[in-house]
Amino acid sequence: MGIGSGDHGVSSQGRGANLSFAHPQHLLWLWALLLIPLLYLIRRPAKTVALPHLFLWERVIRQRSPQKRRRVREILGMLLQVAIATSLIVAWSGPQVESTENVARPTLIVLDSSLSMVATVPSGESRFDLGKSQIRSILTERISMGPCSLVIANHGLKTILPFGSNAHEFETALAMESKVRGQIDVQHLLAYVHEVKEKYADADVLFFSDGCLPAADFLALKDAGVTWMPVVAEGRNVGFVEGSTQSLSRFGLRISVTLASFGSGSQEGEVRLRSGDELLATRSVSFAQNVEHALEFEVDVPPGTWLTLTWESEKDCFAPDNVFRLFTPEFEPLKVLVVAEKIDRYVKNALAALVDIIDVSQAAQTTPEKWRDAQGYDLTILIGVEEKRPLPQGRYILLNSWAPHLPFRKGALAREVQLVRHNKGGGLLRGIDLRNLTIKTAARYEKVSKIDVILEGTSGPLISRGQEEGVSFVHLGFDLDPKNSSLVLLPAFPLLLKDAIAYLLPPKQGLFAPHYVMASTLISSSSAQDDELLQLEILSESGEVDEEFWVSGTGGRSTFSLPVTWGRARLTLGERRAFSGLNVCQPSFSQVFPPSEKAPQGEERPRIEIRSFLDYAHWFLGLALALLLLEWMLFTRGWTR
Amino acid sequence: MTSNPELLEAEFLARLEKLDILARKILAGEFRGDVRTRRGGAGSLFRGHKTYTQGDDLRFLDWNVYSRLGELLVKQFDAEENLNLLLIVDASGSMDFGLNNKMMFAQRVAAVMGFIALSRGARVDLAVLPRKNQAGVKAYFGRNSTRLLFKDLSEITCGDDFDLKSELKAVVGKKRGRGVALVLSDFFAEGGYELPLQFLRHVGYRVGALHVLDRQELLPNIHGRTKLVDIETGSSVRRQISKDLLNAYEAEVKKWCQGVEKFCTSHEVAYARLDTSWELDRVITESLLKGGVLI
Repeated sequence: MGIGSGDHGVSSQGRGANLSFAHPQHLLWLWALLLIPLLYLIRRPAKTVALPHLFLWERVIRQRSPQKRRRVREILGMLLQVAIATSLIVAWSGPQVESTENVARPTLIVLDSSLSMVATVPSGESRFDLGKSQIRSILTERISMGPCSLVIANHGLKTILPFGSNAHEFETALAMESKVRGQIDVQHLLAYVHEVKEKYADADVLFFSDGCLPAADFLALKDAGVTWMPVVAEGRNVGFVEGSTQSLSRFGLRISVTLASFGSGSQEGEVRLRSGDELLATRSVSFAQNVEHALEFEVDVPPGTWLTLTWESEKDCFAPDNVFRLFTPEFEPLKVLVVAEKIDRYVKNALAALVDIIDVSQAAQTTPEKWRDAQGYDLTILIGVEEKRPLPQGRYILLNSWAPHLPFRKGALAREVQLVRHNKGGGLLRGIDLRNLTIKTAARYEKVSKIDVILEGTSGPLISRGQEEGVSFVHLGFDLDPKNSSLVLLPAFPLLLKDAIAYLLPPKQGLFAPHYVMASTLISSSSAQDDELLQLEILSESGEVDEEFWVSGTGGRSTFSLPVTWGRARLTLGERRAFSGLNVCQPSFSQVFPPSEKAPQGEERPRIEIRSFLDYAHWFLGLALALLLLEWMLFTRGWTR
Repeated sequence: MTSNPELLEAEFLARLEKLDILARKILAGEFRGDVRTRRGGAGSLFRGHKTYTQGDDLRFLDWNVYSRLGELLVKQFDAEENLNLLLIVDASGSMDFGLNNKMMFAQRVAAVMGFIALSRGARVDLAVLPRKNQAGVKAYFGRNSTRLLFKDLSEITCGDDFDLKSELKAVVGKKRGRGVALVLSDFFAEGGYELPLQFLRHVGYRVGALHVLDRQELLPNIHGRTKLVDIETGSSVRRQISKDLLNAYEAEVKKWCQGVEKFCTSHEVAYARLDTSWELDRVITESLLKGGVLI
């Protein structure tokens, strides 16, 4: 599993007191305050009163305050009225100041309610109930540290409780939750967590789950700062967490899957591959420790077939991650160009045996002088060719051939070659009994940069493979003539060529989503290749490409940042090709991330208003009353007369 | 201002006859009237006896009593003489004001006073000031001239401001007769009210000041931004009329009225403040009687 558990140590960071409002929309009424000075400025027309005793009025007015003093009183009165109205509006808007102590460690508790949580543990409880019990056990401690929020995650997200510190509410809300459905939408969960973390960077996010998630999902959650709280009991839970397929030929399919487990105790079981009711393959797996098991199946099945992989164990809780279904893809036979003055018949026979990989009708042969003019071939086989110029980008099988700019140098001919070492993991020597392999002479080769040496002799790499500047190659550094080497006479020679072609085929097709785009972070899955190229295009609403980003050598299980904001993005993985000086991505995977479905919005936006604020509404109300009293004293009681 | 021919209702006029006009001193008249004075003298109305003291007129010694009782008592009589009532009505512009128009109210009060005087056989002189707008001083004799008096009163129209003292000099200078002078005015006079009243006292009149004020002057109902324009002079003041200012004004009016009353009291001028909102009953019973204008 790619995510650790139990680490709650998010340090509390000091935060300044920020004034916020419970109802900020009420602040719009502040504009109405402009009316007060406006009313003062707009002098209403004085009504005329004719009277015979003006001298009495004049006498009174003379005794009263002079004009300037009256003006000051007017302005003072206006300011007081504005202040009173402002205080009332601010009080109405619910001013709150975040209490640093109270929000030191907010906790977002996410409870997995996907379908796998319905499985019961030996005690009879469901995993979901077990998760609720685990939440209850930590609730008191967590609430003492800060406000908590409860979110239920399955194919959607549901905020059960916004951030608060009422344990009783939590108990009630937890007791009411019972529905378990669907599978977790990790993208949605990540978006939710992201928004919470944006507001409260030091918030703890605890994810109570049985862990039935693909490894890439776990990686993404871990990267987002989510702490997995395993919902475990007696017994072990095993499930598929990764997988990929690779079409080897028209009927050949290589399936790679990874099983992961957690829980206590050991467990043994079998992974069975079926096509309908027909059992195609079986692998026994034993989980003595918490390790991942990678399994590989190679089967011959026609394209367009549904295959089912099941993990079958008597002890395991049944869950959706115990079953994995996949659809076999179509395979397009390769168009092969053979470049040789003369093709050895053994080689010709071996290639003819690969009819389910090679489109024989489209295959062609040419001479070393003309082959560069030929276009549209998937694979080029050079036999005994000494090139003066570097090879164009493409896939090559180099049989006793060489060209400049390859990651090894060719030296003089060496005699009496002895095999030094071989690499079993390379796959190319499958079925070849090296005891029967003899090589009399071979050219001396010196490794310049990184290549994968499959078989090494005293003269240097004899069989090797690698990639260099868009050139993928498998190289055999000796003459295949039976007089020089017994390789072509070995029955497994066609198999070597088949594996060489399989190596040069397009990369594996991931069975789980290979990458996640999370805000400005892109997380690659474990199946990502070190040498693959990633192209990220930001699309406009009309589907046109607004921006384009390229990343190469992403590698598996790594995260890296791209200037990506939430928006429509198309992610393309594939092999890098240089075309007229431009990067071209030969796609092997493409996914569009539409903004409306993945961006956090709608009702499922996290309700992250932490209610542990100091409410200042009554302060402003008091201020308004005090100002009102002051105005009454000043103007009604006559303090300013 | 519209004229008011029906100044007094018949029922109310009947009640008025029961009232008398104050005259503390016996005033010399041009002819004998039927108004009894408080001063003893050669009248025909026997008042009573008093013990003889040296210097008493022997003609009034009651010899009959002396023969029966042996005491020297002198007979006393009330003199019967004519009353000369001078009604001075202020018809300046300031009187044309009020919810209940001050001029109309003054007309009614003047009518009441005139009616009472004429009912008692007194002579009534009506002087409407300023003279240039009015007919001048007119004299009325006997009850039959009541209607004429009312007609003249109802035809009074308000004019400009004037100098009260000079106007009075002109009126009284011609008259030279003594009696009771009742001044119906709001006393918002340009040159002040003190000298004119003193002048009337000086020439021998028993003076009564009937201070006519409207409720709008005493308790004005003005609020907010207001332009106050003087009716007579046309001068104006703009001011925000607040409750404070209004209270101050009311205090000022009260103080001013008290000043007028204090002046009158100190100069033996009978004073009565009349509110135009009052009914005439209340004017007579509360103000004229209490003020000593009527007895």
